[in-house]
Amino acid sequence: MKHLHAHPINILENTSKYLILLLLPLLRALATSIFVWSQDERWFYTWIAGAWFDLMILGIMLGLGIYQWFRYTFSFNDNGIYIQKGIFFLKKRYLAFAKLTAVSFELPWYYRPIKVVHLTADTDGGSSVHPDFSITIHQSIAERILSYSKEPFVQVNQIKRGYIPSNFYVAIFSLLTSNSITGVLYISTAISQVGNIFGQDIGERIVNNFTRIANILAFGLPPAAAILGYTILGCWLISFSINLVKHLRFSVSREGKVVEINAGIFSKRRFSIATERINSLTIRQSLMSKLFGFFSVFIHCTGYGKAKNELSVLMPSGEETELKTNLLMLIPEIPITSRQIKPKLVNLSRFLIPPFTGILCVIGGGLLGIHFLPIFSTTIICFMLIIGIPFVWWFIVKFYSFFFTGIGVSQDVITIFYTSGFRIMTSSLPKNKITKIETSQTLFQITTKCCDVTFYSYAEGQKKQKVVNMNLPEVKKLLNLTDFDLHLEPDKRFTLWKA
Amino acid sequence: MKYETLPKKVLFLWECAAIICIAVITAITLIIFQPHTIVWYLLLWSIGAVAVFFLFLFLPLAFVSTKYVILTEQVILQKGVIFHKVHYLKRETISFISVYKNPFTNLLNLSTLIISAPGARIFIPLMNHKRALLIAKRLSYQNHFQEA
Repeated sequence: MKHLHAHPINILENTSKYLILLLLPLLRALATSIFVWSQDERWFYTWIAGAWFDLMILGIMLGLGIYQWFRYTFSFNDNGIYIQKGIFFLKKRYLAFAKLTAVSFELPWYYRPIKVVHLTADTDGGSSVHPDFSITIHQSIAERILSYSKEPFVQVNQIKRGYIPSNFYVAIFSLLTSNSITGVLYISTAISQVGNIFGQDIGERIVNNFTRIANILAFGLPPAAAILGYTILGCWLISFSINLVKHLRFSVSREGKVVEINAGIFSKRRFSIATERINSLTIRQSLMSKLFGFFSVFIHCTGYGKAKNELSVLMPSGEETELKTNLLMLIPEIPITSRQIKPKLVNLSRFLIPPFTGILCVIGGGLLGIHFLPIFSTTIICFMLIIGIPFVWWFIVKFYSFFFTGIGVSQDVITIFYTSGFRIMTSSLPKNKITKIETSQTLFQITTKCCDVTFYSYAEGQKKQKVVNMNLPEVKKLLNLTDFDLHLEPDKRFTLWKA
Repeated sequence: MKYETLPKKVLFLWECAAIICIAVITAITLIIFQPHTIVWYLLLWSIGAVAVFFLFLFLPLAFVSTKYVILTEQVILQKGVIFHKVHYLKRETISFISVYKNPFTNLLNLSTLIISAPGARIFIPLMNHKRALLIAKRLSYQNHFQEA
């Protein structure tokens, strides 16, 4: 088998992180030399005399990039992918197509003219942070690897079923999954890199201009609160835009035992997932989406959703009937069962105590602040509202959570209903994908026979989902959890060693 | 058949470690702080209360509450005093088993058994070393165990 290298563009990828910081100042100096000192015949030598060290570093970085590109090779046939890494210390790896959980490739917008993609392939083993195989190659080679990877799971002449959500639902999905923190990360990285490339004063000017605009548009609010508010809003808008562009033209199809997902308008992404490697299926809602009747469906599968800012979405958004019909069509192996046990009324207070404590802390802290710093009272009240509103929202979510939480069991799956932060989750786990169940009780929970149940499912690292404040005897009975203090049937006993 | 508990020397080890820690903290307090002041008395009484709590209540309860059993289909581990947890790990999902020792536990012939499955683990701390090896061996070859 002929060993192939990554696409030569990979050399720049290996060095691009630091190359741009060195190259732009060099080019700037060269441009200055040409336009300002062009009268001087020796302008080139003047430039070299000042930039020789930077040029040497640039040369070393490019050399390292070429070395990294040269030492990483791969080959493939209809059985799997063979990877070889290193020159002096050689490392070989073989990934069988039948063992792959997810294969994906991304065609970034800046590579579209040259048709180069990032291909990744992952299995249940290996690193929980990095994919088992990741390379930049020509699209034609990636397509061949993708078709080989589907062969163990797709029979000839199998019907292909598909689902394409409307752009409206994709926008709803982007609305629900956007958060200000992602936007903050993008903005801060961008401003920091601008400062590194063009000088720190430019970065500071951007920040100062933004502060000035926020002050003008404060509309009577204290400046600090206005700046915070606009920052949160602005960062959220950026996150929303990024999510929207990422998930437009979303489509899902099922052929044989493979689910294929396509998404993206500028940078196109494609995922091929083996259905028997899907570890759980989760329906996510927020309180707002619950009110409007929208659901989003996610799957957990090694390799899908692993990349930075990548969401492991199966269906971005939709209404209940549409979602149930499409789920039945796409992944009938993992149905959603109804709730069979739920928390007792005596445990309602356990749901409400954490958010209520938060509200009290905000009010108490605010009142203390107003008492000791009366000149900042308006600002403190604004901050109390900004911090307090999420706690009040959380209180409402936890109140609803009492009526929603539960566990249901069918022949093949266990479905759990719980809330996580502000999210309302319904998660269906195939029984053969559950590795461990943990019940925990605090001293206060023992009195009311209340417990928290945590389900651990197949994952490279650790993947757990927790249902709180359930009744312990009901949980043990429903999940068939052995209680060794009770009578045990003889055929369930065994000894490891003879007395 | 009953749950198995940890060897009694584990409690002895924990109590010794606690006494050493308390002695070190007390010595630091006596060195740093001005003697016969309110802060000094407060700290010494607090250390004493914590010492009594740990040595006579928490550690014995932690020892008693840690127990495990290996069944046909699952491994069950119970532990925890304030947060009492019961772990049920399916045997068919076990990937590998590790037995860990360090120079201190080696002296007392103790080791920690770690049973690993994809996405989950069980730690059984400070078991008898031979018992840990036997369990590790038998769990690794699931068809070779003896049924009662």
